[in-house]
Amino acid sequence: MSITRRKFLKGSAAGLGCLGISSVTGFRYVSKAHAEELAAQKVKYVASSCAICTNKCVFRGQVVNGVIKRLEPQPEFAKGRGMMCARGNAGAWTPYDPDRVKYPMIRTGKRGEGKWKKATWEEAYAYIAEKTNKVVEEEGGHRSCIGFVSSEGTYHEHYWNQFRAVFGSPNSLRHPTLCLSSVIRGFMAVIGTYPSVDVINSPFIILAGADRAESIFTPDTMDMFSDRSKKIICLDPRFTKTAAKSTKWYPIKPGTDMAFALAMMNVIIGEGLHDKAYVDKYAHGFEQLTKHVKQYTPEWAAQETEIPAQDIREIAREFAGTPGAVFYPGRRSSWQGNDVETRRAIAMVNVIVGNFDRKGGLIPSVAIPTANYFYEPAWYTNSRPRLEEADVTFLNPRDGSWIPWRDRAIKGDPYAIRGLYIYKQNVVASLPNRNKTMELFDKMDIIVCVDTFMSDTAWHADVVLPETSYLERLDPPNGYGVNGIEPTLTIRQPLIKPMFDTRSGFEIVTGLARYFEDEDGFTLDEYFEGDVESHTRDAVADYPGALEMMKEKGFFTDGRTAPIGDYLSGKKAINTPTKKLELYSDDFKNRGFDPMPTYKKPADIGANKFRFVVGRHAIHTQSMTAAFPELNWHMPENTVWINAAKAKSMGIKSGDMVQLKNRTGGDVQIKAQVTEGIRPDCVYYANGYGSLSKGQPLVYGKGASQAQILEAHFEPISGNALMHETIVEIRKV
Amino acid sequence: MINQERQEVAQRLLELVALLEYPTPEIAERCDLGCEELESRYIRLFVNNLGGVAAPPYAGCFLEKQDRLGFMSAFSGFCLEHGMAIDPAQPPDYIPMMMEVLAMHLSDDAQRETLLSLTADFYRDWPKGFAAALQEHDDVGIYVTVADEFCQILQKIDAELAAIPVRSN
Repeated sequence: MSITRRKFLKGSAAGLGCLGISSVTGFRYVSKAHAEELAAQKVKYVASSCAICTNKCVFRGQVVNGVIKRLEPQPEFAKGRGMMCARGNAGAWTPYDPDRVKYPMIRTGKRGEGKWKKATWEEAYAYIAEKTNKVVEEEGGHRSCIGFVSSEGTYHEHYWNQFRAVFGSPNSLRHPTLCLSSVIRGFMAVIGTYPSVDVINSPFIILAGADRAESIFTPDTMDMFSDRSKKIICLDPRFTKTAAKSTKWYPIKPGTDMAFALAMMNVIIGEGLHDKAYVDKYAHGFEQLTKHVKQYTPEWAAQETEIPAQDIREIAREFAGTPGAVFYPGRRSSWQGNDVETRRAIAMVNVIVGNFDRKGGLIPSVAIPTANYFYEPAWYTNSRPRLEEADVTFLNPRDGSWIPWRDRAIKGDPYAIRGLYIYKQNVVASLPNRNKTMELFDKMDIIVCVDTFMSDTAWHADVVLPETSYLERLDPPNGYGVNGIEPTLTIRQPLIKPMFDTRSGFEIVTGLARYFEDEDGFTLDEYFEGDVESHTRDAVADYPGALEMMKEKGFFTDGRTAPIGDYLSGKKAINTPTKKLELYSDDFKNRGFDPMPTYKKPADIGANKFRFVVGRHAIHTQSMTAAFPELNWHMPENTVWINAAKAKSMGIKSGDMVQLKNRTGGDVQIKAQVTEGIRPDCVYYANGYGSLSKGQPLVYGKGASQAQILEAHFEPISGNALMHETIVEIRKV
Repeated sequence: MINQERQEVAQRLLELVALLEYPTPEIAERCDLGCEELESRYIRLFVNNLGGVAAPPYAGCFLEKQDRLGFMSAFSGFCLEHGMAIDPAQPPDYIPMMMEVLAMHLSDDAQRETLLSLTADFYRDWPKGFAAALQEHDDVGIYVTVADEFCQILQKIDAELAAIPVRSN
């Protein structure tokens, strides 16, 4: 048929003209208006901030003839200090990516089949509203049946959350329980905050799994590793870039970091090396802790961790004897069943040497406060608690807990979830056990996905709404501390006009809000006031000159520095139940948990099995950048790291295709990378590959997806997914 | 190429641009396809396709030696220098837009040197690459025909420009 048509078209002189385009009206894309005005602005610079990782480094975008040429670092920005990393630079091409989502699209085939039709925004909104209102009505009018998903990293996420709130669903799912919830909870329990680390001033740093050299490419990381006077101890089952840059690397047995921390405390307290005055004045429960850690000798810990007892002893002694020594909080370590307790133990090591709220130690995170973005709440009589409320002790209502939430949503327990609205979180690629995520998707009547690229999640949605890229929109101020040292506000400004038929997050939700009503019949857009420009202005109204500085430089700082010592001086109260640094927690005890970290031996994985460990890769920011051409070029596919001796015994060579199979039905095929840089009982591969979405051609069918091999487990204190509880078998294909 | 011929070529280019637009029910009917089916195929070819955009409608994706960002910036600059503003809602190397730019120069009866510079700097290599991609992936047949005809038009323009004697001062 197609050949016949092609012949017909080619063979007929009038073939093209007769195809319904006889009335060509003129030029659609080119005009002579404003050309002179535009030509005068041949080169311009726009200050903005990066979105490729969490650091939000500020840059000056160079735009030549209306095209983004490069992103130059803003030299006055304290964290960047004139540096812009390769990942950040790779972002310059994103608006022009041919695989970008360009128009609202509605699925016309089966989910995942890749059949779409282009829609106007109004058509897309109307389609979403019709489907959504139908299921809400079928569920008796309660709106909890729609789950809202969003991701950190875009400043417009606040508007998404506002839409969820006024829509009336409590079911909000964010990324922290796939990331650092357990770290936050562990440190909150001991010191009352999730701190920053004064890495520049610390002479001795212990990193347990935190792969800073492959995750945070900023000058403070460079300082950390280039200053040869610093001592850095790296505990990691894998020889990471951080391990390579450290003074010493210990391939610790996964799940035993707590044993290492407890043994350090055994030595420090047992030998009287702790900061007695500090502990007496600021800590609660030291006596109990002293008794508790007596059992955890270095010899015992050596059996658990496979780190020599003498080394543990020497590290503990040197750590306690070095003012400003710090045991880095995270983010990643051995995410196993007792992870909150592991983090508490690490926090306690810091407390007993007196480094919280002191130079070189753990610094309370601070930010420049901005005016609250206020909106009227909506009230619904027919509302329900969030789905997994009973499953997690310290459940953050905005973050939720992905693993138990998904389990309950699949079962409809205690009520059915019928729709998912997803804002830029690639849940198919990032949630452990992809098969379960697809099972969840199969149960949905409506899946809406807002994104800039055709992610695996967008690929399986019913409606895809294209958001402007971070280089095309104004983002309201975002406050964060620069390592807790120089609090800063950053903004994003458009370097170029939005391309294609894309909209900002704010425009998307306010447009969608017009299609829904609250119980009193008011359309939800009435809850949104102003625009991003006015919100930006209002946020910094208390700081004269701030708006002008942000527009000119992309950031604002008023010179304030982290208030080191405010907690110790009593100016601020420590945010724990006892207002002390808690080495013993009555709160935990009352909730049925161990009041002090109590070691539980990881289960034996069995012969010829491997623990799958996750971790960063220097080329990429998690799954986000694997499809960036400039970065993918360096690493076209991922490979599974297998220990050399183990591989030899199994007859596996680098480049061989192997199959990994977990205990819950997940399996992948991937090429082997035989290396000395991983323990014999572990395997690892990088995130971001093995895409299901054919809309991501660089990673579709290349390598394997972490989400496909990770088993889904969570710990019930923080709700964090347990990323190191996956046990796999391997066979050569 | 006399002015009348240029006008005709310009008009034909605009017709080709129209054919590269999102499909209408009329075009689908002429192709013996349901509109939804043609929409789906169009999206796979040009918007978000199976296995990656099979025939991205952006010239820079078919350049062999040039950097795409540099190409887009230079092309946009050329247009502005010659009093033309291109639609900021598309990357400057959007092929239908580049066809229009050429059409506008032709209909303005641009000088030989300007046309030579335009075609030599911005219309080399990629038209054949685009046509080759469509040859492989366009099973409808319209789009590869458009691309082939565009290549023929460029050849014709080149030949005509070569035949015009260089203007002496």
